Amino acid sequence: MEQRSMTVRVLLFGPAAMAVRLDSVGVELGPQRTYIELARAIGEQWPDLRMYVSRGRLAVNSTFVDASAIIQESDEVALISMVSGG
Amino acid sequence: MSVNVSIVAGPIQGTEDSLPLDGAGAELAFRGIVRPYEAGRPIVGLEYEAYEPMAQRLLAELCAQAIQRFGVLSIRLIHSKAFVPAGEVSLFISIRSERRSAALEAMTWLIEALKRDVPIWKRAVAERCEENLPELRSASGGSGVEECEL
Repeated sequence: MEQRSMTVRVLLFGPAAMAVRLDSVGVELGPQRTYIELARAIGEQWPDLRMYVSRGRLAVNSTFVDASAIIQESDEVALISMVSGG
Repeated sequence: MSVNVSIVAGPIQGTEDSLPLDGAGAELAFRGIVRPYEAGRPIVGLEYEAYEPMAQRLLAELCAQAIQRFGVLSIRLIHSKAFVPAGEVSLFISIRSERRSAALEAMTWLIEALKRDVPIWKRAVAERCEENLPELRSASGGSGVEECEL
């Protein structure tokens, strides 16, 4: 059965949020729903976030996952890039 | 061995610890204080933003790793979120150990790991930008984060 596309909401923080002036963005994801595909889709659909995706990592449900992880529509995804606490 | 981690809004106050010493021969306390300047220019403070559930969990995991790695007895860590004025404390870490060397090593390792791994961001707020700050648009309709370029 063919999988429909889905929209994943990606939470943004710090410089990434300031780059697009949004605290989250919606990203359309096709049948391939891996972490890698989501990272690629963010860069394509939100070019101003490309640098932050390449320098950062995506967290799924508050946990860093590996590149083969499958993303579900209900997952909480966050772009974690260039942290600066302390 | 114990770990106590919290993220609080605004400056950190009241860091006295009444927990039993549990055989500690050293207690090392670190207070990170917001400087009144950033990149050579005056600021009124720092705005901290945290991805809180993840930050809280990672801080606790790093403290547990530090206990395991350096054999210290306990770690208490408090990190600020939201606005902290210059001159106020935004990070407090207290480490107890049997001997001082373990606490000193654990403190250095923990602060570096925190700055590298924990999803907390800070942004300088300059005096001239305190009013009429533009806001981020929030997809959920809530208020966003203010911006102030230095």
